[in-house]
Amino acid sequence: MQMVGPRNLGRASWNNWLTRRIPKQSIVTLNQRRLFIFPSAAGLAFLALQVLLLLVAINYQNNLIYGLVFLFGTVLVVTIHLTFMNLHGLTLKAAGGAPIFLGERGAVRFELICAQRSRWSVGYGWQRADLRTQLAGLDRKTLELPITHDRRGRFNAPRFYLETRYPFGLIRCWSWVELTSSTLVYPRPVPPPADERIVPENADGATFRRATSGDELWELKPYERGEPLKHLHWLSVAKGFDPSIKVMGESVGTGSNSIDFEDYPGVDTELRLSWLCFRILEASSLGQKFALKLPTIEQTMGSGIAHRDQALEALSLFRTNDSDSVVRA
Amino acid sequence: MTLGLGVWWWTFPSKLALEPAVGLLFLGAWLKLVEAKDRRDGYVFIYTGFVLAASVFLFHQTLWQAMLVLLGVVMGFSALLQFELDSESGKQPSRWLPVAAVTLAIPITLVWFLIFPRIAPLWAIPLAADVSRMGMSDTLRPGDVSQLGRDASLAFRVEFGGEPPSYNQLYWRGITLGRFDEGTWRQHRWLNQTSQRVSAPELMVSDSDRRYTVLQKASHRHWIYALMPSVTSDDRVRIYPDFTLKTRWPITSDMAFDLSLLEPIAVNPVISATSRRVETAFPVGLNPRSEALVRSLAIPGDIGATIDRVLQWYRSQPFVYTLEPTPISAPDFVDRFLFDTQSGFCEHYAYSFVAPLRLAGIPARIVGGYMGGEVNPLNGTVAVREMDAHAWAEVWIEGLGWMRYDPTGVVAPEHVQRGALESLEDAGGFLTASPLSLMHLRHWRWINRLRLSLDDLNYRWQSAVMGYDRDRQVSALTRLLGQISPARLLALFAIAISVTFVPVIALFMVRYYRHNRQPRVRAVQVLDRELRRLGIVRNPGETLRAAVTRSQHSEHYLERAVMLSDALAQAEATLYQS
Repeated sequence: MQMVGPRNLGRASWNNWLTRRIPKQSIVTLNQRRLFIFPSAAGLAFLALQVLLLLVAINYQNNLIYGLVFLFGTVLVVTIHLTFMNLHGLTLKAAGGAPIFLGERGAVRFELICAQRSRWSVGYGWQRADLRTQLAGLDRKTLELPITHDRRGRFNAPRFYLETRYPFGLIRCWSWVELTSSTLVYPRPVPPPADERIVPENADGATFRRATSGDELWELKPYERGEPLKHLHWLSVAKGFDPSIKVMGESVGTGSNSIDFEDYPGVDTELRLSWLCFRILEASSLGQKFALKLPTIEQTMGSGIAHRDQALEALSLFRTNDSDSVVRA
Repeated sequence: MTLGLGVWWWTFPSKLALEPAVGLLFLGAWLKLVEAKDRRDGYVFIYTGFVLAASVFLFHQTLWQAMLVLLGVVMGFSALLQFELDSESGKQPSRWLPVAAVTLAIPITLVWFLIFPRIAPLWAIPLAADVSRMGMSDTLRPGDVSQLGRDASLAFRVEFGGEPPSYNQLYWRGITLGRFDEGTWRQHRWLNQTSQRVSAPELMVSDSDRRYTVLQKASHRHWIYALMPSVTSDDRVRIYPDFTLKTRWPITSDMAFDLSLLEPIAVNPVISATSRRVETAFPVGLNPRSEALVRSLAIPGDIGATIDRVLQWYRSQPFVYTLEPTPISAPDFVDRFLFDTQSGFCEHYAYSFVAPLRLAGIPARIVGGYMGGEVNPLNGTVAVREMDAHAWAEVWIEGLGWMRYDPTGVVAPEHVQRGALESLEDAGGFLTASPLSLMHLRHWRWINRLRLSLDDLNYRWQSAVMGYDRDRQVSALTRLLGQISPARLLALFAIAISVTFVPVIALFMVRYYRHNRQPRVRAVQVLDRELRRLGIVRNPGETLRAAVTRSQHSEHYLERAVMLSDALAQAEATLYQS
C-alpha cells in the first residue's frame, strides 16, 4: 500500500514521463533524447569560484584574472561536450540472468557495447553510480547490477542509473535506462520437518543411482585442464559461459517420487513451496526420478537438469501474474 | 597547524592587507593537503589552488607569470581528471586531454576577453601592504633607509606618440612634498580634497606628437608618474593643482594611461596665499649654520640669482653621491648633511636644497618620482625601473611658476645625463635587491640584445593585455568589427566557436569516413543496422550468417526478412568475392 502524497504523485508523474521518454526496450542506444546533462556539485562549486574570481577581477581591475575567469568558463563549456560525448552513442543490451533461489545474491546483467571511441569512467547502479567501468576502444562488456530479491517469480529488472562525470567531474551526464530483462527467482529451499512430511509408500523402496555412463545429460561440472574435449559442453561455451564438462548418466532404479503440493495441507503456501523446492533439489541430486504436482501443473515422472528446471520454474511462477505463460508440462 | 598560523602571524605584520589573505589561503591549502582523505577534500584543495593561481596575478602580471599560471591551471585540470579515472585498470585516456581542453578553450576565451564590459570596481578592497619596495613613499624622512638603486624591476613604461623629449628632460613626477611637519616631508593636505582638482579637457591638446602613454605596473598606490605639465581626459584620473595625477582607485593591476604633455606656457602660474605660506614654512633655529649660509648667499628680491649662488656653493663643496650614506636622524639634519657628512643620495640633496631656500623665504618643495629610464631601441619605449627613483626640487619663481631644480645633478652630473644604470654602478649597494637580474650582464652584447628583446616582448604583452581597458576595448572592437552591435559581437563568437570546433569535427569526420568508405565495412554496417532493428547485436566473432539465423527468432523477423537477406547477400558478396 503506497501513501498517496504530493511526493509520491510527483514521483509517479516523473516515472510516467521517464517511461514515455525512455521506453523499456531490450536494446537502448544513448542519444540526445535519453541523456540528461547538468553541472555536478563540483561543477556548481567551480561556477561559484568563477563568480568569486570575476568579482576580484572587477574590483582589482585585473585583466589577467578576467582572462582566467573566461578560460575557466570556456573549459566548463568544452567539458559539457566531452562529458556528453562520453555517453552518447553507447549501446546497452539486456543480457539474460541465470535463475536464482530466493535469498541468494542475484544480479541483473546487461551488456555495454561501444561502437566507436573509448568510454572512460562510466558509473552505474540502481539509484546512484556505485559501480564503475570503462571501455577501451571497440569493446563490449557484460556488467552486473547486484540485487537481493524479496519474492519468487519472474523478476523484471527496474530502471537503473548510468552516469559519467568524465573528464573533470564538473559536469554530470546521466540516463535512466529500463531494459527488458527478466530473471526467474525460485523459492528459497527449506528442508521440510520430518514429522510433517507424508512419505509416499513407494518412495522407500526406490533406489536411484547414476550409472557410470548413459545418454542422459546428468549434470555439468566446471572444466578442468586435461579432461577430454569430447565431453565439453559446447553450447554453454558458445553462449559465453565458463567451459563445463558434461557428465552423462542414466537413472537406475525403480519406483517414483511424487512431490505434491498437497503433501502439506494447511501450511502457508510460500513455506510449502520452499519445502517442495528442497525436495526437488534433493531428489535431483540423488538422481531420483520425481514428478512435481501443483494444483496448476502436473509433471510426468522424469529426471535430469531440464526436468528439474521445469519443476523449479513451475514453483517460481506458481500463482503469480506470469504463471499462465508457462503451462507447458 | 599552530606552527603554520604562528609563522603566518610572524610573517605578516599587518593582517588586513592582501598578502596575509593570500598567505592564509596558501596555508589553508597546504594544511588541507595534509589532512585530505576523500574526493571532497581533493576538490577543495584543487579549487584553492585555482584561487591561488589567480592571486598570483594580483602581484605579478608579466608574460612569464601568466604562462606559469596557465601551466598550473592545466595541472589542476589533470588532477581533476585523475579523480575520474580508475587507478587500477591499465588503459588510461591521453594525458594530453587537459592540455587539449584548455587549448580548445582559448579562442572563445579571447573573444570574451575582448568583449566583456570592463566595469568600475564595486567596492573598496584590501591592498597590498608591501609597497615599501616600490619607489617613493608618501613621506620623506632623512633617517629612512633607502631602497633606491637596488631593484631592477620595472616601475612603468612609456610609449611616446612622437619624438621623445631629450633624456635629461625625463623627470617623471609622482608626488610633491610641500608640507614640512615635525621632521617629515608630506603632501599638501588639500591633495586629499577632491574639490581642488583641475578639470582637464580644456587643456587637452590634439597634437598627437605630444601624446604619450604610461603603462603603469601595479603599484597599489594612486600616483601616475608623468612629465610636467601633463593632462589627461581619462575619467579614472584626477589632476591636482600641483599637476600631479592621481587615480580614483589604487592601481591594483597593470594599467595604461593616455596623457598629453602641455607647453609649459599653457599653465597659468598663480600661487595661493595658503600655498605660499605652507611652502615657505621651515622651523627656524634648528640649523644655525645653514641659516648663516643662506644669509650670506641670498640676494633679496632676486630668486634666480639666489638659487644660482646656492647651486654654486654646492658645486664648491666636496659632496659625494652614495646609496649607503651615514644615516642622520637628528633634528638638525640640514646642518649635519651640508657641513659634516656631505654624502647621500637624491632625497638628501633635495631636502638640503629646499630647506635653505625656504629659510630665505622662497617657496620650494620636494618632488618624488623617477628620472630617465632605459630607451629600448627595438620599439622606442622608455622602461623606467625602481632603481631610477629620484627626488628633486621645485622652486616658485614669480612670473614663471614652479621651476625644476635638481641639486643631485649639480653634485653628480653623470646621474642626470646617463641615468641610474650607468652612474650608480660604482655606488655601493647598486642592484643588491636584484641578484639574478640580467642587468648585471648588460656589458655582454648578445645578452644585452636578448635582454632588450625580452623587454620588447614584455612591452607588447603589457600594452596589449594589461593595458586593455574600456577605451581600448571600444577602439579595438570598432577596429575589428567596424561598429559595435549585438549582431557583430555574435558573429565574433560564431567565428571563435568555429575556430574551436571545426578542426575537431573535421578530425573526427576524416577518421570516421576513412574507416567507413571501404566497401566491405559499408556492407557489414548495412547488415548490422538491419539486425539492430530486430534487436540483434552481432557478438564478437559471430559470422554474419549466424547472426541472421539467430535473428529469425525475433519478433519482427518476417517483416524485415527480405531486406535482411539482401543485405546479407550483398555483404557476403563484397567480403568474399573480390
